[in-house]
Amino acid sequence: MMKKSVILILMLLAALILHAQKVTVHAVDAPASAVFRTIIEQTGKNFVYSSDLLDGIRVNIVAKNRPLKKVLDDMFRDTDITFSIKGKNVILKRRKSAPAPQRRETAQKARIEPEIIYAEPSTLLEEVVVVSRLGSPAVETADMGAKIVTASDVRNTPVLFGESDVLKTICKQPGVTEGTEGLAGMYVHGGNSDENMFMLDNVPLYQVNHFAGLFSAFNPDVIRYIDFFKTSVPAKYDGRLSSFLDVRLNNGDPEGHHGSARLGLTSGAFNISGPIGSRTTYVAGIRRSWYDVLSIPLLALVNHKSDDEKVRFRYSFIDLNAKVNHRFSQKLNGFVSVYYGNDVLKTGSEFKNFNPSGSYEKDHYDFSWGNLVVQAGLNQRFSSVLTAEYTAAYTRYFSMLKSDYALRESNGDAVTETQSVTHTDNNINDWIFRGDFDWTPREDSRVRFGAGYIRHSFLPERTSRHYTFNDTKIETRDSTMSYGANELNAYIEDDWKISPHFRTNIGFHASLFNIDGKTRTGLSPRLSFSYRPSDNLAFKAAYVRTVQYVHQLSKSYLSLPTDQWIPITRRFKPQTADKVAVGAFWQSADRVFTASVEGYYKFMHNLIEYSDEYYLKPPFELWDARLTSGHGTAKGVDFQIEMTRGKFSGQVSYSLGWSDRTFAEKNGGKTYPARFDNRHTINIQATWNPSARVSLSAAWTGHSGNRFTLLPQMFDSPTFGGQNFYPTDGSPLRAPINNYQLPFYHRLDLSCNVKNSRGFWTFGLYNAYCHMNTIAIRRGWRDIIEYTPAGAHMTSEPVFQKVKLLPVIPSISYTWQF
Amino acid sequence: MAILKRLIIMFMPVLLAGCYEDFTPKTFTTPVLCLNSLITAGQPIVVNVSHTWLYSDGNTNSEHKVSDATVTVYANGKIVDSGYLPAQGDKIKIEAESPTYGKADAEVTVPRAVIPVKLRVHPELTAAHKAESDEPLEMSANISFNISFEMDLADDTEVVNYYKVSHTGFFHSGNLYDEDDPWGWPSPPYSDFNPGSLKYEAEPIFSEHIGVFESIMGGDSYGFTFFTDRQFSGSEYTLHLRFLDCSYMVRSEKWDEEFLDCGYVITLHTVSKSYYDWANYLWQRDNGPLEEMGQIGLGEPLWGYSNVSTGAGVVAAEASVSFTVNLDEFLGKAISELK
Repeated sequence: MMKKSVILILMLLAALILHAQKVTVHAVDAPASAVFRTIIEQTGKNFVYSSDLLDGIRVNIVAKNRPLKKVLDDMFRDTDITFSIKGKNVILKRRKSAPAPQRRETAQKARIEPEIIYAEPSTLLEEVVVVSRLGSPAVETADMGAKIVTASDVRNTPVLFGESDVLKTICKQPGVTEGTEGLAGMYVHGGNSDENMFMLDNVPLYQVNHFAGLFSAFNPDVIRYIDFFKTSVPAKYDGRLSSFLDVRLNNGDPEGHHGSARLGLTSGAFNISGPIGSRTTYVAGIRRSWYDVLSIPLLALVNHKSDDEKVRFRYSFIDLNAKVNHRFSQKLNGFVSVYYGNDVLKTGSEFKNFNPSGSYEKDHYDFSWGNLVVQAGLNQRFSSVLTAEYTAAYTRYFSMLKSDYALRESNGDAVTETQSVTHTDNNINDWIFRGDFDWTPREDSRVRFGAGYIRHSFLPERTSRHYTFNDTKIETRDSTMSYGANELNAYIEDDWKISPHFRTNIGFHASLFNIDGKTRTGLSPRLSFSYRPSDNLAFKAAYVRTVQYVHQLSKSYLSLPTDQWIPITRRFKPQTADKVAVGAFWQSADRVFTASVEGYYKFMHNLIEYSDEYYLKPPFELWDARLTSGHGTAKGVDFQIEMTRGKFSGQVSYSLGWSDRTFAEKNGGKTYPARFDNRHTINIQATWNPSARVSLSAAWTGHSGNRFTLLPQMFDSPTFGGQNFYPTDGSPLRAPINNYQLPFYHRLDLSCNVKNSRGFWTFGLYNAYCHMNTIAIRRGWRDIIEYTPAGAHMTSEPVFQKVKLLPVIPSISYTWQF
Repeated sequence: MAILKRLIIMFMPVLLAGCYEDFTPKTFTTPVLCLNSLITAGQPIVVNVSHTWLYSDGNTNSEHKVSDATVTVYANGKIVDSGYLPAQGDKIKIEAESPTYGKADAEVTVPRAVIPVKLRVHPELTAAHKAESDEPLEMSANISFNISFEMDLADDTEVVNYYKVSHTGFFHSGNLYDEDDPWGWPSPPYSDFNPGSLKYEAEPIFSEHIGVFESIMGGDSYGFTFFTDRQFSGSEYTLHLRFLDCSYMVRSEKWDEEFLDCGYVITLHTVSKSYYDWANYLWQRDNGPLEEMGQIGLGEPLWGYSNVSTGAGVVAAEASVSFTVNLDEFLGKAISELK
């Protein structure tokens, strides 16, 4: 991961007063692309070069206010690369006389120059491809389990309905398991789905799903790259146990106005970026689903058949991203960004009887849920070795559910009118203020430190009910309280290259969380260590502690607006996880292959879950009365091989893992396997670019079946109590939780991108060989028809049935670029 | 009422398309004893002893009684015989042992009946008219009305109470329906009484077990009259029972005031926690979303509530107080205004 791998202090110092083509660069053993980024920021130049040109090229250069040409001369003096500056482009080529390795010759023959335009910032997806082909950060840094996922990675990962999706792309990483097929969930190293922190430019986002998790809230068209950490975690991050995923948005293009428009089966998107004057850029993107539009004719057909009953249905989601960057001076940059994501669901029916009695029934449901993030930041450079970033942000998760039932009946002269309105709110409001500093006291040391304050405001659930019957009115409001919480945190870490062979990253994150009159302390030490006996090989070890103060309660495996984010309170301690990991990382001398093996053991403490039979406790009681606290462990080994050669790139990963849970009030206090205790997980992914216009991708996933609680036995139901309509059916006997392993899961997804002069087509095939995977076992009935002389006789017998999900699903979309 | 449930149910089949496949899971099960009993203060204890069975054995309607079990009943720690009548406050323990299915036991305390402080009755006449008849009848009337009961409960702080309200209607029937002509009316004199439908929504405490999730998934309180004192612990609460579309009908050649002997029996049951939990489970199973979501893999499966050591069966207890509300005065007045 490049961001963490370089020992690079890239400084943007004062603009060159007399000549715009003079630059200041401070780079030590840094990837060439990182230096390009610095130069682009100072000069606005683009770099044009073949994707494999920079393989293994690292740079040592210190230049202050020197002409660009001189700097580039120095950079490429001992390499086979030559450059020419043409207008706003710097074109890099390999010297014709230089003997290139065979694989490079092959790549060059097929190359159509310019193949890759490296312009930062830019909306072009290919820019980051370059980054991934540099010396593997897995070998060069002390980090473990860190990954930069590029926008093109996201675009090239085949997914359901062809909707490129950040979360489903991340789920291809070793040690990461996806949730219920096609829907919500991401489970990292045996953790729960709420133990992953999702951020948008470093600001937490609580609701990251649309439509029960079918799509994530991140619009892939405005993404620059994604930082993902699942093992060693930078000290600046804390607050979740399992992983941290920071989605970085594109910056505006200072060179001109660009944009794209995409139309897919389920959604459309539009984004645009460009300059506003010489110092300001903007980028904006919007994505919206089409379901409501598609459902209009269907609804019209349904409603056309009946004059009495009108069905109401509308679902849509929208994501809106906007960002403005402004350069106040060479030392001071600022930005303001907004994200707004919202799902709206309206459903129900109206029934009108047009006879004289005029009875009327209305049954409406309105839901609205989503996230709003507003942030402003300043980047300040104090000197060539010290930079700072100040951020103020507001993030709001909201969920509103409203049901409105009305009935008007007439019986002779008597008219009765009944109305029942239920309104429920669940929201979180966070105000975040943070300062992050980056200091390079020496060439072999990079210190990052910072502090922040978050004012949380939680409203786990507030429900009001209004019942009206003629003149009788009853209003009830639940007593769920809102919580205010104050969180203070500070961190420091040092990425220290002790010697050419040894490197370490030592960090510490401390936090105070004050809620409900009690202050909790979270101390999270971080340590990772790398021994590099050769340029291509590194052995690493890491210890990470993470602390989590908020958690999500969900009664289903879907992502629904009824899911509640709630804080720890007086009754529960903060959730913590201690993780130790060791691993080995290797990269071939020609940089084509990288391989890694990483073993981990994770202890999770104070985990919070719904207790067994929690539903028997009334909801008006304090919500935490239904919860139980416990612990869990997860252990495993992740293997991964990646290859990038010419037109072909791919990866194969295998994970061997165990994960279990123990709760006092769950499973009788006995330890049980976690739902995603998948012993074996295999991911194979390949992308082939046979020409500059065509890109083909395939992804095969296979894993041991998820764990499932099978209730095989029944007992005689008592014949008393409430509405026991089927007393002879029997009731299922409790059984150990997750006692059954579902069959092996596997599927193949394919996608193809075809470029034309205006944009590109994307074709997809989800579950290409139509293997419908089992997601549950249900207790069903089988009909048996016996034919006798007297006629057919049908009986039913109970039988277990596999519930299978998602057949082959094709998709198509077109993106128009301008 | 089931929007999301409806959505999920609509959404899933589209994607599932022929998604159920019969199969026999490889699972090892051992049948265990199941005990079911509802212990009522003042009545003999009856225990049903059965055994569990594998769901796919295909005999869910067959008999699962256990004949070789020995059942022992303890009251307040002492073994009692079959003539024992439990009293309020008694702690009852039932033990059963079978050479085939092993042991099972369960314990429950017979709750103390709670006597309401007051019961107020508010009938509202909605329609009254004489019925036309070819026969010479002295009285032929149809009365329609709504009625509300307000029951004041005073809660004892020391005890956590679980309640259930039930009602029945009674009336002086007179002649009965002709069994040979089930569709016809009986010959006068006769009367008929329909106690109407209870508006469950009119009493919010009947839906106290329904959370937001259950509510938006379509769950409502229809048919559920269990509640707890958690919301009014140590204080008074007025329970509202509202019946709509109640009707009374009488046909008689000669008027007899006995036909006005008509009304409601309202019973307040104080039930054990196990009884309440069982009823709550049944609501979840039949009206809540968890059962269906668990069955299709979108949530944790729901198992049957049990307070028996083997996890099979329910041993519950109750005590009750009944009030008889006679509507003779109200109906008499309505009829007298018709004459």
